[in-house]
Amino acid sequence: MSKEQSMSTIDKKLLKSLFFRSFTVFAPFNYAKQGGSGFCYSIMPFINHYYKNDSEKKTEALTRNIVWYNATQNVGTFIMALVASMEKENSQKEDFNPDAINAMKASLMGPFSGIGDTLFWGILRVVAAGIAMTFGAQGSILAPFIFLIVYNVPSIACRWYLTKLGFSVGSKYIEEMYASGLINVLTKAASTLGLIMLGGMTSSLVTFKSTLKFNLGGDQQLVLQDILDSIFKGLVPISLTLICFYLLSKKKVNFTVLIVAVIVLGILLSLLHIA
Amino acid sequence: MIKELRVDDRLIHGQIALTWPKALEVKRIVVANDKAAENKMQQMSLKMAVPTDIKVLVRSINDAITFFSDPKVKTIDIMVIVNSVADAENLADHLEIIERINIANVGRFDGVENSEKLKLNSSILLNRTEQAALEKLVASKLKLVSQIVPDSAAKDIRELVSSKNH
Amino acid sequence: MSTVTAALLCALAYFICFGGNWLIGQNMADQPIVIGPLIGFLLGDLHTGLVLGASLQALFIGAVNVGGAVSLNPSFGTTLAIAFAILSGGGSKVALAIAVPLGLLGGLLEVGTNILCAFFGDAWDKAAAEGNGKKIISLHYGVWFLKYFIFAVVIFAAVIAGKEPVTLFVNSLPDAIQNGLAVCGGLLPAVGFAMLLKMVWSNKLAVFYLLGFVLVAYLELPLIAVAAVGVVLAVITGLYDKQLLDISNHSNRMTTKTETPLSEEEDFLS
Repeated sequence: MSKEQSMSTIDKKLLKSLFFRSFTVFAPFNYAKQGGSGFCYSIMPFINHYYKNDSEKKTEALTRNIVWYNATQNVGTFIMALVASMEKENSQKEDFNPDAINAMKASLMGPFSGIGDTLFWGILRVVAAGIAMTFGAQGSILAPFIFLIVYNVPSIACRWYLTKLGFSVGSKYIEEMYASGLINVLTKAASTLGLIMLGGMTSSLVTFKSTLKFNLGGDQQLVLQDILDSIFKGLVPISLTLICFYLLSKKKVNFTVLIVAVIVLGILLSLLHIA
Repeated sequence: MIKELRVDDRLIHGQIALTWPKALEVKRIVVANDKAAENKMQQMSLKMAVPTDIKVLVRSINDAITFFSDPKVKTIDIMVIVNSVADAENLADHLEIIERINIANVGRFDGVENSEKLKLNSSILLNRTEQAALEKLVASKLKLVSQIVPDSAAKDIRELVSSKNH
Repeated sequence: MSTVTAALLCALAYFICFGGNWLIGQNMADQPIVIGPLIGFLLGDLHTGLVLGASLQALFIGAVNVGGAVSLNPSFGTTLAIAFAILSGGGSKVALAIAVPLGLLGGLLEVGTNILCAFFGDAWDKAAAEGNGKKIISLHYGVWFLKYFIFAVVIFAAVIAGKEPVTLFVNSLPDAIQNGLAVCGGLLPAVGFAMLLKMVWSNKLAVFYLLGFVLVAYLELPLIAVAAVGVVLAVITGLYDKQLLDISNHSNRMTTKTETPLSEEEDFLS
């Protein structure tokens, strides 16, 4: 997999510039372009450099790259750098078909977002939040800093690594990685971590305590919460979470509807003196 | 049967991979696209986008037509994805097993200036070729809708077109 | 501190955290656990900011902004909920009751600004057609500023207009409803976790979810320990799978046959 070619100094400089600009990719997020302007802005150093003697081709390149774009930004740098390397090729080879650039971009956006959203939104952010929330709940000032560090260090490292990779090894790398099944192994390991963390967080953060008691005469009391706990600790939180999961994924219930339903449920439970 | 012929300029992406096979109850997706059929790398990434229990076949438009004329295929539920209305029209012209055509996203990055396009809604932008193809589809008897995700309502394409013409 | 000063500080903090999040690589500065303490600090009650930031993080954990589909804006709900909690002296009771509804309103506002900023789409196309890179860049940053400036103005106005009515409203709620809202605070994270489960669930790995749950429910481990156990198990299973993969790749290579297009179609139908 080490097919990294040695890079010229100018390309290194341009790539660094792409990397830093890529942080702003979704700054003016909107429904017309999503990250289109940011994509164009990020690879502009390459366009300016490689088409500097041909204003017509430069205009074409800008037009080609201002189109609608959306991919999870921590992994999207791979696509940016790959497109940058294709633009470079286009500027140097007569027979290069520039249509391939947007075709490639369009085909990569979906898969990269699918994996990127799960890894960064679904897993890394949740692990970081889980660790930091313990500190926050105790009123420790470390909470926001721990969260930002745990999330951003791997996220920025990944962004830079994929920037280099996209430019130097390009399409072959993904092909090999997919063919060898390595991507599946990586996502499976990350999902394992994510599920363990989600299980722990369900237990510690979804809370329910019933206040319902029955007097059985004398000093005998039947406490509902004790019965629930004796069946399985945290029975209500885990059941509610799994019911919501079922409704969201199998019954296609809308997220907002579910939130409103749970608010109604909470108030009802309180009005009925169950909680 | 082709449960749905979807027009989407990103071909397979997250929304499609995760929501549509479940909603349509299909386990197979055919991507009919000439460029993707030639590009091994693009095929890899398309296959990478779907969950492991879904099978993906990437074929050129002509190969897809040949493939679907196999009688064996008629007994199996399949979702087909193309990236332009013209390709969809071409398929619909040759195949009679399409339950509905869903024009979801099109023309957002075909390189043609947006001002030269007919805008049916925020995600359907049609250049001249595409408009001509759509006219042919509208004239046919096929069920034509626009629905981005299963949760959203399916809008009738013929109504969208006629509301634009007035 | 006058209400106007407080509103200005909130608007500024919101602009920095929410706008900054999108300007600088989606660094998550707009998450409740970061913006909460900042609002608390600026309004002179860091402790409340920290504690509420952590509980609101749990409430908003499932607000995943994927593929541009916005439903909740956690930073909007957090900023206003914590500001009102501190300014009205109502504490966590106030914050937990209003955070989610405000988050939903913030989500609507975000959809609105996304539509508004879409009007600049043609300007970008024009700039590109003119080969004018500088104009693309100034629009890029200009639209960013405009979008988050609008949000900041709304926050400013909301703090000024909302302080009294929110205090009145929360105080006028009957006890049963207030208690109900507290119950909701405990139950609502379930929806968030369900949303996240939808992203990472796989039937084969579902036992790990149960493991994480039991580690906390019965062994009462803190979450940082759960994370460590998770990392250990992820590495172990990852290495094991990698080994299996190498073996199967190796044996495949021994018995390579060229795949004909026909066999791929047959495999697809099987």
